[in-house]
Amino acid sequence: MARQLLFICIGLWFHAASAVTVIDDRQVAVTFTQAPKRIVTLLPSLAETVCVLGACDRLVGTDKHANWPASVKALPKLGGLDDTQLEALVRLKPDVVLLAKSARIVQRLEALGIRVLALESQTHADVHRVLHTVAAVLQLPNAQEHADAVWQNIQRQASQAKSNIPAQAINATVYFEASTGGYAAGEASFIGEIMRQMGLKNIVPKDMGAFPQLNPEFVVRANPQLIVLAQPMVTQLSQRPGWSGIAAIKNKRVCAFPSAQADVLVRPGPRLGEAAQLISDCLQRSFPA
Amino acid sequence: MKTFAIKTKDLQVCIDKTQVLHAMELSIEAGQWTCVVGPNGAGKSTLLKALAGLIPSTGELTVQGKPLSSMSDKDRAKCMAWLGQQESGTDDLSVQDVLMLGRLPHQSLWAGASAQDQSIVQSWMDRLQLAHLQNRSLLQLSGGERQRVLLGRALAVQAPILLMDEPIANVDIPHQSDWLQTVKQLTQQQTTVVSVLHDLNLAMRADHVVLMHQGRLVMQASPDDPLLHEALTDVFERRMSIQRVADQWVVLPI
Amino acid sequence: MNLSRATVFTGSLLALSLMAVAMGLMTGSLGWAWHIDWQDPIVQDIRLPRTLGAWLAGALLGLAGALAQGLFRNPLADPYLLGSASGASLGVALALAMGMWAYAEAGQFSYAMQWGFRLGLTGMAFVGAWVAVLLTLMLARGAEQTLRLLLAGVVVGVVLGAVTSLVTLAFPQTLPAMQSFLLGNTSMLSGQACMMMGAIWLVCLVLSCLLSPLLDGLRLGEATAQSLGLQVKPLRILLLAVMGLATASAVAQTGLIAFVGLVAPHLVRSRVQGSYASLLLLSSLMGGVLLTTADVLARGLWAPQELPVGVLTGVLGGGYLLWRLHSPSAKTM
Repeated sequence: MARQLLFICIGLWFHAASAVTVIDDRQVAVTFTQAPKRIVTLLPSLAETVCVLGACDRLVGTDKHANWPASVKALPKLGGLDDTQLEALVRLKPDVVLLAKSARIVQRLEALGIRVLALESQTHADVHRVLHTVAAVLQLPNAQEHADAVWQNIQRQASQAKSNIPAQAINATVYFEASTGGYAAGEASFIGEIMRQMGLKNIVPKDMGAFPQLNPEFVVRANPQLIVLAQPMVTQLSQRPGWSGIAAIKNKRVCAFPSAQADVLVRPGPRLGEAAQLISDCLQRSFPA
Repeated sequence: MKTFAIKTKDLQVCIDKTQVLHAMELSIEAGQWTCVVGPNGAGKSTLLKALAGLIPSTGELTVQGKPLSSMSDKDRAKCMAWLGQQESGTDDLSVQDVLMLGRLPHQSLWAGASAQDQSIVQSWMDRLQLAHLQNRSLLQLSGGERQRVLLGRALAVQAPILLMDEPIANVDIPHQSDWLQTVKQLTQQQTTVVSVLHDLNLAMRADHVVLMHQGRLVMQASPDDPLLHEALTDVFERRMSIQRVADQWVVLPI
Repeated sequence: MNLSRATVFTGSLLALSLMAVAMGLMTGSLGWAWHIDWQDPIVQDIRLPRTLGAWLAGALLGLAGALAQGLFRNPLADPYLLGSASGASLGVALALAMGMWAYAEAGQFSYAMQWGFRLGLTGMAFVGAWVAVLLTLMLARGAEQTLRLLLAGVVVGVVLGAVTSLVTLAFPQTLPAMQSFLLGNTSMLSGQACMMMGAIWLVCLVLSCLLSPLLDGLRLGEATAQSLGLQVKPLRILLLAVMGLATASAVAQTGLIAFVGLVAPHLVRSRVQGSYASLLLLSSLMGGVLLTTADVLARGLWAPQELPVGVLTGVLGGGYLLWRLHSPSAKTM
């Protein structure tokens, strides 16, 4: 992160103020002689990043999953994360395309002469870094300070959420189920990081990876005090064999989030403050004073 | 007084909208060996299947005095045993199991093989010299051995009427001679044998010969009948001669 | 002599089943331990139904596989031939999609959606499998010609598979759950599921053993079978129905588990030959042993994480078939 900041400063020093060079997540240097005015994003969190920095009006197209803020929903949709509609994208004549590192369309776009910036946030530190990079690319006035301000805002939102947590909920053990089929969000995942910062103990330790598929016995043994579901239940949790004895189910401390909110929880991006708020609300409901 | 095991009148068979058998009128005598001959494509196998009730036919078909259509599947199976030209076998049945399958028409759904079934199977295995192959799988046998096993299966049914389609196609001479003897013994015990044979020399040893050509009955007569010889030579394009050698009819190509 | 060999084999399979079930009760999220704590609610509530359920599902699949190979007279036939796998997948995809959609809307449910919820994933998988089998039978216009039946099964499988893909494209949040179903897992098997599978297994076993003379007769060809007094057409449809019931029940509870139905009859036939009545029972027991063993490995190898059991059966089953193909006694393939 420090290295990227250095490069950005050097770039700003050596060129006129309107030319900026950034290094993206592929370690490729991308130069912008002018501030890009037409931006396409192919990852929901990148659209959110652009909007949170106040440049929402520069977006001309997004992927079909992007849905925040509301104005983004009206933009042309260019397909999912892996099946981008290339023609529609090219017809939009973007100055830059922001996408995930793993997107398969990167080489195709570059071959067509379209500028591509690959950015991905898996951790909180990533989110901070991406904010800075995008701010530099957008060539906003006082870009770095602006990015820092936005970051501070997010942190403030998160600490506000943390302060609202009822006392009994501190250090509560939690099981977060990311999808049907027993995929749990562990400490190594993005939402795991958020929950850890809020003082919750995840029953899935870091060494088990971000989304392990657990033996249901493990959950029963861990006996979490809170269960969070980021997807709809097709069968009642208490009907799962052996689960009716889990503390969270006995004390009715289960938070299920509909898809709009589940998106916020599961997507790594600049809305982590909002995610923290959702968790905090869940805790306030589950541990009434 | 002759009794007829099978009688047909105006028997017709249509397969896929093509008429394969035309208005056949046959009388198969009981307790005798009748052989069906004819050139390729004459419809001999089709006739045998129709007589066995395996393919639908129109016209009258009476077996042992009763119309075939009025008999139940089990009764029909107990009355007529059918041996087809060898169908492809993918399975590793043992010889004993194959012969035991011949007892199916006599077994009920609930009971399995009875002691009587076992002894019948054993006696046929001995008669056909298959006892030493008892537990070998079908796939391990030679063509001729396999054929004898399948014949044994048909014989194990112990039906009064036996319909056989090319039963000794791959069998060597000594076992052909055995087969002829078995047929003689069967007819002596009043079993009716109807066989399709392409080897005319063997066919002429039968009690009756049915000559077919292009789905029609040409003639049904005794092998000694000179009219039959004339009809045979005609049907086979005059490219054979029938001679009397050592008290048997011998058919030679010319 | 064949009979006593079959009896010995049956005995050994039963013993192996007991061992496998015991192993299942000893393996869990803590890995493997040498004792079974019967008082532990985890053993009672989770491990017992799950292990028994794995055995029953394997038994159902083994039976269905033996029926398939007998009915189609093809050693490569498996119980999913009539498209039941794709039908079950489609049922599950629809159930998940309806659930997601209803949840997102959070408003009124239509009558159809309420039914989906009531049936649940298991019910929808079962119904889906049956719909596929019926479609195949209709397309083949009856069960008379095996070739037509096989082709119809392939067509139905492909078409329903494409529809399933469309559903998962429209509702991409269903993908992880679909993957879990497609790879098979036994983690949510309850005591109720075990009782249902057990009852269906007994019914299917008895029916197919009673009707097994048809399969024996068919080994000599259809015409010969008919000449032996067997009513080939109606009996065949009945046996297909039994096969469909067994497959649908297993798939509904545990998802798509590959190779068990294909390999179990092969393993049995490599050791014992005989009439189909004994082959059906032995294939069923063998299927139970195979799936239970695979399930124990799936739970134990990487505890507390679980491998999908379908992956293990694929690896083990595929490996076994490869070995059979290359061994010198490859004649029976």
